[in-house]
Amino acid sequence: MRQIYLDNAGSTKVLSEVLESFNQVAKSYYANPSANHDLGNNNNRLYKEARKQIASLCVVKDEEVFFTSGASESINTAIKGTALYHMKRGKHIVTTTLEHAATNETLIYLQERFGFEVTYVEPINGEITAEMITDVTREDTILVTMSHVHSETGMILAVEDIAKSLQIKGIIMHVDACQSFGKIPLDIKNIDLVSVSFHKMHGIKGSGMLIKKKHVMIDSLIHGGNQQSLRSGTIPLELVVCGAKTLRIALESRDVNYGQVLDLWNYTVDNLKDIEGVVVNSTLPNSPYVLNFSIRDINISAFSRLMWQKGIYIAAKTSCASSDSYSKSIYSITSDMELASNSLRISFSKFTTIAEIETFLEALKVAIEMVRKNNCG
Amino acid sequence: MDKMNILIKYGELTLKKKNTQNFKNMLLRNVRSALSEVNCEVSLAYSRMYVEFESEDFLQVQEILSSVYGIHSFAPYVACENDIDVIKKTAYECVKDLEYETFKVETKRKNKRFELSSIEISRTVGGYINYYSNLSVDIHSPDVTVFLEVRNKETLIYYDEYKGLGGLPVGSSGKSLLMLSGGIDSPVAGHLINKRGVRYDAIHFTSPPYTAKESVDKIHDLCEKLQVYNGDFNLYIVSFTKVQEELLQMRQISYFMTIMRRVMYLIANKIALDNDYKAIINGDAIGQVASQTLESMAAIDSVVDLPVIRPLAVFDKLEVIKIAKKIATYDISIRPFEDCCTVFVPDNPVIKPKMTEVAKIENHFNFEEMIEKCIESIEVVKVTTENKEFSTLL
Repeated sequence: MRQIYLDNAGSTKVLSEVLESFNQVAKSYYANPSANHDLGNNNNRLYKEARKQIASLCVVKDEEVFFTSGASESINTAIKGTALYHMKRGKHIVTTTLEHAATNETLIYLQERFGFEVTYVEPINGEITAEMITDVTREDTILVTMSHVHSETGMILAVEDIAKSLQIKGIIMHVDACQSFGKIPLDIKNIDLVSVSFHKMHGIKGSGMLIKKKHVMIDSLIHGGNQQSLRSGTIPLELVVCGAKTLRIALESRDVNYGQVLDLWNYTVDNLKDIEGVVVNSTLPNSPYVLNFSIRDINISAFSRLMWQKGIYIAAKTSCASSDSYSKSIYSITSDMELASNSLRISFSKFTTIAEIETFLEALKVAIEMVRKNNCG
Repeated sequence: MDKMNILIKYGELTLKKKNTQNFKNMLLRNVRSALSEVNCEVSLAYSRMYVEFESEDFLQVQEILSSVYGIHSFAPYVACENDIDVIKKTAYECVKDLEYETFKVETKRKNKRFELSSIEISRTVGGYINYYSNLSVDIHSPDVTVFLEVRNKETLIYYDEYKGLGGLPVGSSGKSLLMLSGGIDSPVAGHLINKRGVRYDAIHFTSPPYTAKESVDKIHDLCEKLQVYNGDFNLYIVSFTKVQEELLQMRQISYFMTIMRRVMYLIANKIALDNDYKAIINGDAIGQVASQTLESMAAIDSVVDLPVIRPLAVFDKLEVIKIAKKIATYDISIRPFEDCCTVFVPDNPVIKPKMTEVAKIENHFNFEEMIEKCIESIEVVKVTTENKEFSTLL
């Protein structure tokens, strides 16, 4: 059976070019890049070259790029690192109701263990404006942390405007750009901290980065040999090189991919709207890579299982979330409990084809009918 | 994707009557090579240079053009047809959303057949903007000046001018050899000599295993920063340990530094002559340390056949540091690794070396042989932005 993979916001297929680099580096550049001998020095040059490539692609300084084990580590480092360093200045953090678990759970930890206060801003009419954020910041606010693209719906948040409005206030801004980096343009000029994951753009799992601007002081979470000042641990040269290549390829083809995926998004939305009981939760401006919809009057888990059986992989709520019975983010957008309980996410990649979408739509119609008829659950 | 255009004005170049074309071509080459990684079109027409690129690359282009010597200023512009109605509307579109209060219009009418005089054009366009936008006219101290250039084929409109580095295009005054130690001064000296159009290759002396590998890494990192202004160049790495060990045998150890530096310059001199460099550049500042007194300089200069230029001769340390920070070499220079001049330092170096004494000491050594051996073992590294070695991996 042919697989139709529509969970690209969860993870993506690794590019073969990237795997080639992985093999080559693992085979020929295995010495520790921090070692003082010739082999180490040579690998260190490769490491620096990779870092430089990323820095120039992101228009930041080389020293502002830190490699991590992925988005969760980047987000943890950004939030906890800022909180611990600046807690003497204040213990208030602002975020939104549209965040990934990596952000939410980190904030809960800070609240419970260190007595931080967190304000959650909810979208109004499908948007969160700079004003809505600055309205809730206070004297003791040290950090605003939010995602650029909401992982469940693909909603684009105005992080650039918000960063600008925070600059004068001296509040640090962290952006979780996992769903957007390499996919849709993001100007990080005014953003202090940016978390990025490579496996969401056809790179390798277990690799990501945190961009930390030079003027921003944060605590380190992983202490040790000081290989990258902020993050100790042997530099995983394979992953670093692959990360640089992944990002280069993603950015080089970003606009072409965007156009292609936008066509898919529009086509899917047009067709979903015609199906009875289907409500599209994603609204513009939205990342065309993510599409969220709910099906009324249906057992959603039975429905998803039926789709999986047919080799069509879609996500019921975000794959990383724990087992809550409804999506809080969808509820905060729609204020409709049924939609929030019955939401599904499909997410595209540059490899998704229109034929796959057609197959998906057909299967969806059949499955809806089947589940409703059998009234399972 | 939106295209954007920038026009580049040259400064002093236009003063060089007969050679102007050479200077311009050199600048064109430098701009093209600096922008080689940006998807853009660089062209030369009349007395200006033009760059067309994707508007999203603006910041990158701006940063690059700000580091090319020979550019007086540059400005993003919009072009429109030579019709006064179109000109005024286009100019209005350009400035209507600006957050300024006052403006004026300045016109250069290169197309002498255009129906209005430059004053009339300024007045018409200024009047239109004044009427339709929130901006009001102030011809004495405007917040923003809108420039119009009426040319034969089209009119250029711009208002945002960025200052360039000035100076002469690097390479237009020939090539030299920079003594690069790894300290704060020598990179700045290289940067300053670039300003007058002199390109350089660099030479660095190292004393392995006394000097750490890191001190050579430091040089590579410095070169990378210098490459931004100097363009691609060669770095000569001279292994100097043998010479130093031999010189340490001398009895009048206070002359060690003087003589060691003379040997360094003998080597530099030979490389310079072999490669047709026109001068040797160093980071000496008068009186800064024992080896930089006027007497010490004289002792050095007498072994070389080329002018030794010391751009920092009259600079205070703080002035040098300021420039080093600007060109991003400072943070690298202060990394605490010993270089070949600091590993063997006698306690009381002579401050005012006497030439008679120098000659006496040098009689004991066979310099020719030492220099020959050093030159044989030189490692040449190409400093370039392209790194072919790793390019397939990345």
